Parts: sequence; structure tokens; C-alpha cells
Amino acid sequence: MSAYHSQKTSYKDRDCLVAALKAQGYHDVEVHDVAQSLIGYHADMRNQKANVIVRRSNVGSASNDLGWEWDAKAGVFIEHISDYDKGKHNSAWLTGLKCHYSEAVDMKTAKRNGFIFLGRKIVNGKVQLKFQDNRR
Amino acid sequence: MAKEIIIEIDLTTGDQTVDLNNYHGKGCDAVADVFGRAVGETVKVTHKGEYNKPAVNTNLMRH
Repeated sequence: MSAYHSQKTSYKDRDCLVAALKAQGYHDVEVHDVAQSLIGYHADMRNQKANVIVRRSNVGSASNDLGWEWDAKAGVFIEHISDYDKGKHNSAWLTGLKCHYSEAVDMKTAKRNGFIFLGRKIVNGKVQLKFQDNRR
Repeated sequence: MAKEIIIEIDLTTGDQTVDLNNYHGKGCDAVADVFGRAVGETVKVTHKGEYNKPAVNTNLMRH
């Protein structure tokens, strides 16, 4: 054993965020280089804009768009979820999104660095990913 | 011994821990940083016994 690192998650990778949204059940996700306006349940343009958008038609009849806006200064995506939609997209849903996101990022990072994927399992309420590092 | 990376994502918080086995010294932190930077930020590091032990060179030829 040599070290144990605790890490906090923030949304930085657009592709992994989209993958996480798909894993959470939203298969139709819009991706824009330039942030687009979010649309409310009255078909009204909201003040918020986003680069990653789940349109309200995929969320529910009385819902607003869900969006994640790229904050270039902070280097993270900021989520825009209306108070109404936070009923369904509550902290448990957001935690699920974060878990899927972290897993997607870890798999991508491991592949990019040449680590060999050994397996995935659930242990004591945690997703466990195991890799081998054969680099010298 | 093979170097091994075990990542555990907590399903109740979404945050993760990276456990590194059979790494020595700064190489250990470098690997953890790769995941830390990718996923967000590292908030706590605990070095274990092997951290300060010299790496064993497995490429030595024996005569």
C-alpha cells in the first residue's frame, strides 16, 4: 500500500457529462459549443443559457429544460435546473449523475494513460474500479 | 509486484477515493493527481508505509 487519495467531483468534461446524463435515462442530449437559451414550460425563453441541454419534451410535460453551462473562467459546468424540476432531479438524482460522471471520467482517464482495466464491482455501497499500471 | 489502482466512487455522495498499491514516492502522487485533476480536486492524501520505501528494480539481471 502506498497512498490513499480522497477526491471531490466537479463537472469539467462535456463528453462524460453527456454520458452520465444518458446513464441517468436521458438519451437525447443536446451539445452546443455556444450556449443556447433554455426554454421554460410555457415555451418561454429563460434567462439561463447552457451548452449541454436536456429539452423539456424529454423531461416531462410541465417541465423546463435542464441545462449545464460551461463556465470558462472556473473550468466547470454550472447546472441550471428549475425549482419545479428539482422535485424529480433532487439531490439523490444529482448524486447519481455525479457517480456516473466520475465513472466515465475515470474510465476515460485510465484509457488515456494506458492503465489496464481489471474490473468493476459494487462493494459496500461504492462502485469499485480496478486498474493495473504496467508502465515503468 | 504489479502496481494497482483501485477507485471507489461513493454512491451516497458521488465523491471518490483512489487507493494506490505498490507505488513508491512521487510516482504515486502523480498517478493520483491524474485522476484528481480529471474528476475535480483532491481533498485529502494519506500516504501509506510503502510510500517512502525505495522502488525495487525488477529489470536487474542476476548472474
